[in-house]
Amino acid sequence: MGKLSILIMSLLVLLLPAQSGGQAGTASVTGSVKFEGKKPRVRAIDMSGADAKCAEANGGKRLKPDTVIINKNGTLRNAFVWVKSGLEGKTFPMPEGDAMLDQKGCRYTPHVQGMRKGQSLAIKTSDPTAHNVHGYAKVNRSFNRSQPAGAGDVSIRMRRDESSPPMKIKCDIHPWMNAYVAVVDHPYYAVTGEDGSFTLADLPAGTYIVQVWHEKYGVMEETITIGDGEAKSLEFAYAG
Amino acid sequence: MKDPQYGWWLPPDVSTNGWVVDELLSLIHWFMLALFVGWSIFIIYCLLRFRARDGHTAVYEPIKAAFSKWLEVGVAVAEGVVLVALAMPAWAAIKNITAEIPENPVVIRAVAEQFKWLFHYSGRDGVFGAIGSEFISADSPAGVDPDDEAGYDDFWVYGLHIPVDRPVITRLSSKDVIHSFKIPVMRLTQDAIPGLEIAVWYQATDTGKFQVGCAQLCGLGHYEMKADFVIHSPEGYQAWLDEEHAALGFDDE
Repeated sequence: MGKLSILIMSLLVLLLPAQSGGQAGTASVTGSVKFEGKKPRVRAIDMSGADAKCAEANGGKRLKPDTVIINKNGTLRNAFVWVKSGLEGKTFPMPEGDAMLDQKGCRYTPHVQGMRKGQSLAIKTSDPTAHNVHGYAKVNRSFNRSQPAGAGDVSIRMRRDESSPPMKIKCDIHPWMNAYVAVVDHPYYAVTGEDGSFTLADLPAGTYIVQVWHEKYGVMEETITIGDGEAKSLEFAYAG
Repeated sequence: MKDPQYGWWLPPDVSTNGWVVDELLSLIHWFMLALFVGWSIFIIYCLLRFRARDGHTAVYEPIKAAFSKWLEVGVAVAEGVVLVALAMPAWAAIKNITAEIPENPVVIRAVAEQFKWLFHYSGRDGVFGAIGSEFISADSPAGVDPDDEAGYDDFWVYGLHIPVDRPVITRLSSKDVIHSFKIPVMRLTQDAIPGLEIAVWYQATDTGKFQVGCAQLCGLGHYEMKADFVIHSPEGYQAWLDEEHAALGFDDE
């Protein structure tokens, strides 16, 4: 074994305890993100004039953008909820594998997602047309990569926190395509889905600022103090 | 509808004003051919006449006769006159023919963005909603004020659809850099400049499906900046408008 590999090994051993040994707790915060404003008029996207292959990939059906989706129960989809502060200095186990972003039917799936700092974002294309994935990162390194049909995944490692606001990702060929990726230093984040609810589970006891972000309606924050084993609820409401 | 036929020669001209551009293009090309042939003959003559051969060395000195000096000046002046006589009328012809704004036009906004053209139609009321860069978002890419009732029936698409035999005014603007609105079959090229709105008009003489391009290198995806250009019959255009209104999904006005 060379000197260099011994050095690397010992450095890795030094790093290991910091990476493992999570401090997950037993508290949880659940809630929902309501929408109380005027429902916006959202037009479906006509992709056919720009790229016939995109329209074909959706069976000729026009779909609405994912920007503002108000659920049937009056909640807002695609809002990103995360613990903004209160977890500083703590380390948590890393998830296995990459965060995934798929390009399908000339849309990004998922539209909004959270991922961990240090994780890679694997950007996949399932479309029969070329894409150009352009990450407008403000904290991480921005990227701009062309991806022809059938190309392999583009993998981008996110080395820094970037969650307030999340990083915007756009396709330079299809301007209606956009997605948001929040890079967080801990596992306590969620994206609201079809019922507009979120759960931040296994939190350690403490006082936290919980923030919700929406690409159109901005941010809101609440401070919450929670003890071990406690389950508290938190409601956010956007006025539009 | 015809398929686009862009062969080795000029693309088809299906516009009322295109013949002016085509006539100028052919005039300039014939003139260039005459110059090319004339100068070629002169150069070949000189190569033969002043070459090195038995009893002669090559002559490199220019002739210093009064006649040839005035001949040269004369050629330069003639070329200057021809340049002005061609360029000025060419500019004037294009400006004159498009100077008068036609009656009963279709008005369409074209918004350029790296790297696509977006076309904004005013909808049934024929009035555009208030426009502002602050309203640009993923669900209002044309920058229409979501609270302006005039904009409720506005719609935007990524292909340019126009009726045949009716003047079309396109109001051009850009969200980011300078682009150039180019419709080869309309013989139309006009820059789209951020912060400005520039109007151009044209009229189609035949139906068909062609292409709008960008004629100004605007970035990495410049080659992808194109859109369908569809010229409908009057009935076909109305049917397309009705379809677009139905696709809005909120026909409550």
